[in-house]
Amino acid sequence: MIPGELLLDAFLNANILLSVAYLIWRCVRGLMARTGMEQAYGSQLKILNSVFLLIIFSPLIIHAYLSLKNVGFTINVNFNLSDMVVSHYLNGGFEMKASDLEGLIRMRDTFMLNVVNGDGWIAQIVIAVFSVGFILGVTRLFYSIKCLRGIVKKSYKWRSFGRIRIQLSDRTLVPFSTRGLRCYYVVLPSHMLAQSHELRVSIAHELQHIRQGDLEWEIFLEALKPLFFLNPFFHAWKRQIEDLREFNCDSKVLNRGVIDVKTYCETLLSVCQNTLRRDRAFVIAVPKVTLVTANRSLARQGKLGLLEHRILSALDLRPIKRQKFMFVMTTLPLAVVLLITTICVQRSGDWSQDRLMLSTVVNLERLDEINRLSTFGRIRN
Amino acid sequence: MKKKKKNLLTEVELEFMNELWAIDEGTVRDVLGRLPESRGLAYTSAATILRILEQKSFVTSRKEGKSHVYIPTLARDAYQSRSLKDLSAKLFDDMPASLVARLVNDEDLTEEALGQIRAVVDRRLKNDSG
Repeated sequence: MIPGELLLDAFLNANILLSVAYLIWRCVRGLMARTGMEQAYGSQLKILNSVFLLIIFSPLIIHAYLSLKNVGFTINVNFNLSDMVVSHYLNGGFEMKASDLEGLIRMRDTFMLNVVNGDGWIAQIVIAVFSVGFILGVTRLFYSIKCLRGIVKKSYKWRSFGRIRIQLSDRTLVPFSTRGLRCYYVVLPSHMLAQSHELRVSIAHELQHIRQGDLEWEIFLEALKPLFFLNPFFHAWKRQIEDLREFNCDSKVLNRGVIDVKTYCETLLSVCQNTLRRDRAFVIAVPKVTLVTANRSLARQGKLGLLEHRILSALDLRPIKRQKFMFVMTTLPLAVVLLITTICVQRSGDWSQDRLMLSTVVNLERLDEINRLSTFGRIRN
Repeated sequence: MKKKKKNLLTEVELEFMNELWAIDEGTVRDVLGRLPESRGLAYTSAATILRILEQKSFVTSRKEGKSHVYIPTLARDAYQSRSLKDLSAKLFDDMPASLVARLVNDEDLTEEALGQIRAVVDRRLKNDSG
């Protein structure tokens, strides 16, 4: 395979895996809610992050699998989805015109070839949309980083310990944290100096984000956004991670017992009011992790927003036992299912017996069609 | 200390500057002592606010014993003008006349206040023509 085709193949696989993983994740989360593990936010966040890493590294896993297969180390079972469909078809599992099935099976190959060579208007539209989206995404990312850098640069140094710098800023109304190459920055609105409770909650919350590694994940996901912008499951996945990290952060800070629930929730509400007044540069500045995010559209529609969920969850916080055990017991089957899916959605590497058979059937169908036609194009009865 | 240029004050900073303008110069404790007790502001927070004001070049400081004495570098009048110019630019399309019109049309404005405004305008016009 040429490198372009190889990259496109890996990209398509990642998109398919992400969609499958998200759907499975929704089922898993539903199951967790039914079994009283709804508030095991830490484990849920770890599961999502681990699965995401698995998806991103799936091309390497496939490479390893194919290498092992080539040297005969893998079990002699064909996991390829298209091969399984062909086999099922040849065994009379379902009826369909052989040429139609072949077209369907080769659809991905044809599409990839067209995109790589820029053949056909569909491929050209796909290339154009992706290129425009990618360029806009990358431009937006750099502009956002510039805005964020501006806010951090114009803030005032307040405290620093280790690699963490706590800054005060007039340009933000919402506390947030971000990181540079070496240092972490917790930026607090300067007016908070006059509100010691809010200050304490904000610092505890943002430091917890740093402890959880949320900033690195945010940077990673924001960097991938221009690539996966066309995949709605990527956006849904990112939203899930964003929500879970806030829930997890709230529960971790409150479970420490230093801050009481009332003060915590009041701070969230107070900062949320400010969020609704925040300026544009702050909204677009990424990658950052804020104390609260307010969704005006949800409020207008009268739906439960993240903040309301967070407050309800904080008020109903229960200690969850055996989170590690649950993480392992959920991640392992999920990883196995995804690994199998990864192998299933691969393009068939070679001509299997079944594929040769299908090709023969297609050729026979074509011959029959030719035989049915007379020399002058009339159908013989 | 690295100075940062910043034109306007935040609410808390303005509160501090008002106290400093009132006493001409003072330490963190002097300013804190003038704030209402209900404010409940910690010493360190007050010190930070004054330090930020120094970085914004609104105050300078000199060391006296163990504490710093902060002195406003900008007069209250000068800040009032700056603040009004900003308000005029942002809210009144850079037309001070609109700002004054809005002020004069305010129903809560007393006859006495209106008289004072007229006197200020007359004095300014006289000075300009003379």
